[in-house]
Amino acid sequence: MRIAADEFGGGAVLEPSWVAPRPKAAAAAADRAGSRSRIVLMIGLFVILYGTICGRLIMLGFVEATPTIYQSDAAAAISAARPDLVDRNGEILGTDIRTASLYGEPRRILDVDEAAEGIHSVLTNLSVDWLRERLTGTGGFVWIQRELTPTERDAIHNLGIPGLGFLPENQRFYPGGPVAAHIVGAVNVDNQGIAGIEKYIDDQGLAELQEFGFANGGGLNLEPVRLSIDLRVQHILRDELVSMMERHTAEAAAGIVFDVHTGEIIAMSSLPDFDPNQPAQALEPDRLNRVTAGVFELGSVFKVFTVAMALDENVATLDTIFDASHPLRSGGFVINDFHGKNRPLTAAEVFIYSSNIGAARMALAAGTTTQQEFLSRIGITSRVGTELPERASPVVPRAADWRDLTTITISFGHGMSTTPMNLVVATAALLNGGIFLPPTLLPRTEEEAAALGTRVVSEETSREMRYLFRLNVLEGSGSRAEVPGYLVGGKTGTAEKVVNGAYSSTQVLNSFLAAFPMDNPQYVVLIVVDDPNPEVPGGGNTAGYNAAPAVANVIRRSASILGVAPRFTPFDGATLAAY
Amino acid sequence: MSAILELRRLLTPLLLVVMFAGALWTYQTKHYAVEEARHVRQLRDQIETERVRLSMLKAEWSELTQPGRLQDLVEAHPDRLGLQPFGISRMVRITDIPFSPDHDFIADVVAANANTGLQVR
Repeated sequence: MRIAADEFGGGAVLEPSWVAPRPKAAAAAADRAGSRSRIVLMIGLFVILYGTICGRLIMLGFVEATPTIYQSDAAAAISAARPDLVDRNGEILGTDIRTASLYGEPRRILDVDEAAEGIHSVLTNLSVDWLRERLTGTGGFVWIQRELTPTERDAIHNLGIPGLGFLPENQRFYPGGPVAAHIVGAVNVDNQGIAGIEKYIDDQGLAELQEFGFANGGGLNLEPVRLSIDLRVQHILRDELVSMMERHTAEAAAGIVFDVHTGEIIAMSSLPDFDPNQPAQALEPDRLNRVTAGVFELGSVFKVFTVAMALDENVATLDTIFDASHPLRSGGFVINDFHGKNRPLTAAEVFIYSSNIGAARMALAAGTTTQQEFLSRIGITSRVGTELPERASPVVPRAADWRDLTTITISFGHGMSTTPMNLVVATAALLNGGIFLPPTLLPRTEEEAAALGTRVVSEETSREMRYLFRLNVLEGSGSRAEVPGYLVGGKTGTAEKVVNGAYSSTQVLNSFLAAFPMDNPQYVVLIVVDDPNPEVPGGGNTAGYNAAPAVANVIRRSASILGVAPRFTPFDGATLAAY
Repeated sequence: MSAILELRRLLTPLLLVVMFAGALWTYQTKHYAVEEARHVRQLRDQIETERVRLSMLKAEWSELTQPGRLQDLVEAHPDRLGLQPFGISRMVRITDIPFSPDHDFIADVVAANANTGLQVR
């Protein structure tokens, strides 16, 4: 009080008696200065104190109220949200749908018998005894049933039993079923990718997001993942593979539609496939993705590379003669032709008559080193990766084991196994002007592709290969692949399968490697069929009879979707007579 | 001197009034904020519900318009739908159609489609 009085009234007037006398003016000034500084100090301290409290209050005011999650373990366990998968036109390939899962809080349940019987009346597959045991006790949380249908959920909700609750869960749904099975892959019950693009997405960082709780329960809107696939073409390809397999009672089939200018995979199918809505099927060994994860001795389609090598390395021109009048002997083996012409053939004739002898002589003329170098340059001997985790490496003989006989057999596609994807990517490089493009399942523009591409053969070689592809459909083994208006070109391959360690003459692996339109190829189409049978007894069983017509059907049905306009020239027989 | 004391006596009730007014204002603001927060939460729930519904409908639409399903329907009901794949020879460019030399129909079509973003090639 004295200090206050001192402050209000002035030290000189109310100076207490116990203060020792001092020189008056100086003492008052010192006193006043001292008390003022103490007061300033106190004010300062209080300002800091209350300032801190206010600041803290404001901070707390901005903190978002987080609802306490009772079942924190359960919330972490429920299926995480995944981005939609869409095709190049935005059509849905895979999406999340919300389901509800039923849980119980035993300690809040008043009448266990009533609850158990109530649940049993809706979910009849759960026994009353099991439910009673599950719901008895003081536990805070037990799962009762995951992923209920909306009807079941409503029915249980309407029972009005206390102590039961629902948690929303995401379930993956693929509206197309098996149509793009090997591309989209599959997820497990916790919505984690286990195959295909789904697994690729997880490997790109989604798994980490989910682990830290950012992608649970749909709170985060994930951007859809767009693929290079066209759902319509994908359906057409699969539809044709299915009907071809039925007609020829084949064991398996695979097909690709590939954009030669961007390296995008437009469609890719492998049969038998699976329904990604039932992911357990995906793990059956027969269901592998034959396009990227299966390696085969692909047979005569390899002559494409033998001829391209001879042309690009200046070993031959289209008119160079190779003697195919006699079988070729090497290392105790005799190389024969399937439909032998038994006469000298030009390089172009070797291609269209698919002469083994001619291809072998061509490869020998080029030499083993050139062959090895060329095949590795066009990516046949190394693994070509798409985004899919399922991929296989070609099986290539070791350089030390690569004898003349190896060179000969590889020239017509035996003695080396490779994936259909390798074949398509290399062929696209030969036909698009000579630029090798790594394949992708994600959209890519031509500009982006140009930055990635590497030249592997000259434009001149590419032009000659286009001519040979077209010639083979007009005059050679690929005539059944012709589609009027689309200038289809292609090469057949009929490889004998290895059965019990020997090449079988009855079991074959057929392929047809095509591109269109041949004057400026836009798409490569490959169809491979494993162990087909003749459609009618005694009918043909080479690629020209099964794979080639299937390719023709795919092109006929999908070309307009792919934006390739038909063109009719007088030489194609058909004209615009209708107009 | 006495004016200052007078002021001090008035200060306490004044501060009391200010405090009550402040408390009332704070309470009202808080109440309002709580109401608003509840409203926001409701809207968020509603948006989430609609979003889920939307994705359900999209999935259903996608299932109903699968090319495979449409193809099966067309093949199963040829009498009622009467649809078939169009032949390649039926597909021409507009410039290939021999119009009357007296009138430039192509210019008309191009003009009619100018605002729709359709490309006439």
